[in-house]
Amino acid sequence: MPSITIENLTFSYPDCSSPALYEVNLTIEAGEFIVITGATGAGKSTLLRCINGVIPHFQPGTLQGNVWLDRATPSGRVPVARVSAPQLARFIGSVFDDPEGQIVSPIVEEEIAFGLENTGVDPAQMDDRIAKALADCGISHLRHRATSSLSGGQKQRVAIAAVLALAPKILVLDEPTSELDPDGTEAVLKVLFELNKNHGITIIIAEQKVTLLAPLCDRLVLLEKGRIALQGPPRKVFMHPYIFAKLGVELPAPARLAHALVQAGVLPPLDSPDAPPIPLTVEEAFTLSRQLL
Amino acid sequence: MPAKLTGRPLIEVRQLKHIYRSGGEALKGIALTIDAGEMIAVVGRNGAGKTTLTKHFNGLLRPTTGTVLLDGQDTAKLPVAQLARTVGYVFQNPDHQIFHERLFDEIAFGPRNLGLRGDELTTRVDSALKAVDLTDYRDRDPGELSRGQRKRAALASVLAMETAVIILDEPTSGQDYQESEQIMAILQELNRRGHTIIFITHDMELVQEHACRVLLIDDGKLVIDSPPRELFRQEQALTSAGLRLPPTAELEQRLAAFGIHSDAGTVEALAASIARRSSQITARDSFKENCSGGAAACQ
Amino acid sequence: MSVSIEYIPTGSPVHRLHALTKLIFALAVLTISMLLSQPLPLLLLFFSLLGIAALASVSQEILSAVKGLLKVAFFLALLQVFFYPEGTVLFAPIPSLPGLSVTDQGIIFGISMALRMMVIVTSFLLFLTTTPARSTVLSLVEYLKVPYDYAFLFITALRFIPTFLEEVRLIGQAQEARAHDFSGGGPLARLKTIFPLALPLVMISLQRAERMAMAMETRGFGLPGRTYYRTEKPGAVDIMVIVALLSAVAAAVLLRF
Ligand SMILES: Nc1ncnc2c1ncn2[C@@H]1O[C@H](COP(=O)(O)OP(=O)(O)OP(=O)(O)O)[C@@H](O)[C@H]1O
Ligand SMILES: Nc1ncnc2c1ncn2[C@@H]1O[C@H](COP(=O)(O)OP(=O)(O)O)[C@@H](O)[C@H]1O
Ligand SMILES: [Mg+2]
Ligand SMILES: [Mg+2]
Repeated sequence: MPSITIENLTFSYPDCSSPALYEVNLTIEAGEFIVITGATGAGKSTLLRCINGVIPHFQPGTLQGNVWLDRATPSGRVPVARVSAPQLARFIGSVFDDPEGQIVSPIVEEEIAFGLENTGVDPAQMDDRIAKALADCGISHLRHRATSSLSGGQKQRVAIAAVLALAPKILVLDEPTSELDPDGTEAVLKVLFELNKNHGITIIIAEQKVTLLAPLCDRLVLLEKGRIALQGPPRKVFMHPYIFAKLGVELPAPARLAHALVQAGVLPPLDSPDAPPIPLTVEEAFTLSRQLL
Repeated sequence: MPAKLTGRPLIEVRQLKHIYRSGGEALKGIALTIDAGEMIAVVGRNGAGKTTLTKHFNGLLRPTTGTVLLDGQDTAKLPVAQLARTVGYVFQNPDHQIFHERLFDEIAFGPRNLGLRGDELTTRVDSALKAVDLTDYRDRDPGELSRGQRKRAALASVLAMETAVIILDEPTSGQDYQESEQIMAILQELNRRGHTIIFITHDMELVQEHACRVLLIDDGKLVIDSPPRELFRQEQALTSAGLRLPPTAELEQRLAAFGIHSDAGTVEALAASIARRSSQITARDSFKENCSGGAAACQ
Repeated sequence: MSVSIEYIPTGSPVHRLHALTKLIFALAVLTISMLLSQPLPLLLLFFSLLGIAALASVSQEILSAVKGLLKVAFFLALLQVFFYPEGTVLFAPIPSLPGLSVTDQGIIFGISMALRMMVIVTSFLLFLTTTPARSTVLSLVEYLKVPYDYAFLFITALRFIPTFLEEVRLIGQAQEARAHDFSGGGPLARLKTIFPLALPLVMISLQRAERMAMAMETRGFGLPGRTYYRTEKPGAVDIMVIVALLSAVAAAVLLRF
């Protein structure tokens, strides 16, 4: 299973005075589920583009440092920049932040088949894989629809299904649920979680919806102006509400409740040894509250 | 301000159906009225028909059957450019409208079409720029802005027209938390000044915090039309329409059984209520303890 | 104007034919119409195309396109009628300009030319409305040995027409919603009113082209060893139709020379 090592990565878009990423170091283990968040313009998309090879294969700019794809080939690690984009598609699946721009086929099922055909999947398997990907994204009923006639959220689901069908080892997703309804968001995140847990697929996702992702992920990375401001397991990261406030990222409600309970004097400070763990879900927040009553 | 005291609704939708040429029936008979000065959220799953419905309010789409009246007039009989004097519409994708090389001109496009010139125009544009916090970019090329900023520019270009009604299709998607709050604050302020605001969203927390009325659309039909609090009480209807309670509301409902109430609908208010309850309980317990000689004796 | 050049799935017998058959059909009609020089056979050919359109249940779309074409055909005919030099002069509108006279052969030539244009366009519209783009790509690649990349790019260009039209509609709506009036004034003013539509369209299309390349390659476009989902083989009916078409072309050649 390949993992990713980012070393001293600095990237500037052409004609931009300040770099969009500045000396970023990050190691992503195979099988990890990692969430990247931060205000708009913090550099989330840029970081993902460096991982999935869009930088430098499609996006010009000045790139320093390296993104290594470890154990992808028998010969050890290779820089992403040296693997051609179609070759990378064998390891990494990418969902971009603009779902309309990534649909290339006139009919939904052809869109899902496109990547399967390119990567040489046996046609006998295609029907099953297409059906599964569509079902996972809750759009089986759209299979024969024209892609140009779909609503915004429906297009986004098609874009995700097309990448899920490829079953890549690493999934890189840039705000994939921005236009999805809560049901669709939950369904897609659940599929990602299962791929991660049951098949060891590495998930790297940029999202604003931290509340929904916190219970699912191993690690949360907060970016601020191209640098990593804070990273760690969600419960650790949520210890620092003031950093969230400073970066303009919303602290999830369950964690906020814990901090408010400390303020109200009914919980000991969260970093003290007898403090309960910070709740990540409504369920956990509810249990914590019950214990106080 | 536009709130005319005629007693008749500002927007009246009667038995509205819409069939797309290639996509089947998107709206299956919708009836509703909207009064001047309301702040309304439109919610529903992907493909439910939210965009299709709201595009009828300013004639961008024409009913297949049924009628939509704007201030008593049939929208099907009036040109969109004229309806645009009353109803502004901010599209989901800002790139569908931006074409000027200077942000100022982009924002001035709508008001100019309404016949504004000179100082009045400049004032309008500058105050719209200020409202969306883009004054610094006034003379820059809008193409250089980030997508979040372009989205606010698109909003400003409709704000500057000062229409009585403003419709926004997912104004906060792709925005971060702060930007979303900023946009909603602008809308709230406009609403306070008498504008009717209709916004489409998937973010139930925004609905909870900012809307006075919610329209829940599912499968081309209006399923629920109520204030947010009432909608959130009908969890069954909500989930079967593809939506979820916002976490705070869910927590609040589950804690209600234990006498916890959040008056402000915030986590902080919940915590305060929990603290009050728990101090009552501790007081009672310690009273018991004092009287009967320790916790062990209670059991 | 609503000229449909999209695939319209009606499931008719014509739709069930193999893409290769329909491609050969369009090319055969093209060849035959070039070989025919008299209005009557061309008219017959044209009506038989309309018959096929009815069989394929796409008459409505084809007829609305034909209506649009009539104007163009009329101009084409007029041009030929006035500038055709040979034949007996029937009528000279401006005596001092003998080049501008109307001759008997000119009339026949003009009408044939217009009909030929209608026949060719209609046959290709028939092809496009009854054949999914993807089947065309596959038959080009498999039977005519066109490299996949080119065939795909060609068809992708076609596939963008509906998306493009949708985009035109949305941009038009967005500007109208800002009280822009597209219908204003004389020709020059008209031209100016188009800017708010044209500029965003160009920018979005450029952006889109860039992103498309990215979306395709990051999903493995260009890797060797491509497979194909649902390849269709020509059936017995296809073979019969192809044989009939080739004989018709041969007959037309023999008749002509
Ligand atoms: N141009 C079109 N042609 C054909 N069908 C369409 C078109 N636009 C939308 N539809 C269909 O009409 C239905 C309603 O679409 P609409 O865009 O109103 O949904 P929505 O509620 O806004 O969804 P979303 O939350 O995904 O934006 C959907 O099934 C959609 O696929
Ligand atoms: N294509 C681009 N050209 C120039 N600058 C860009 C481009 N994309 C992003 N940037 C700039 O790089 C910075 C980081 O942006 P981005 O990675 O898109 O952030 P995020 O995804 O966190 O919103 C921002 O300052 C943004 O303006
Ligand atoms: Mg981004
Ligand atoms: Mg929509």
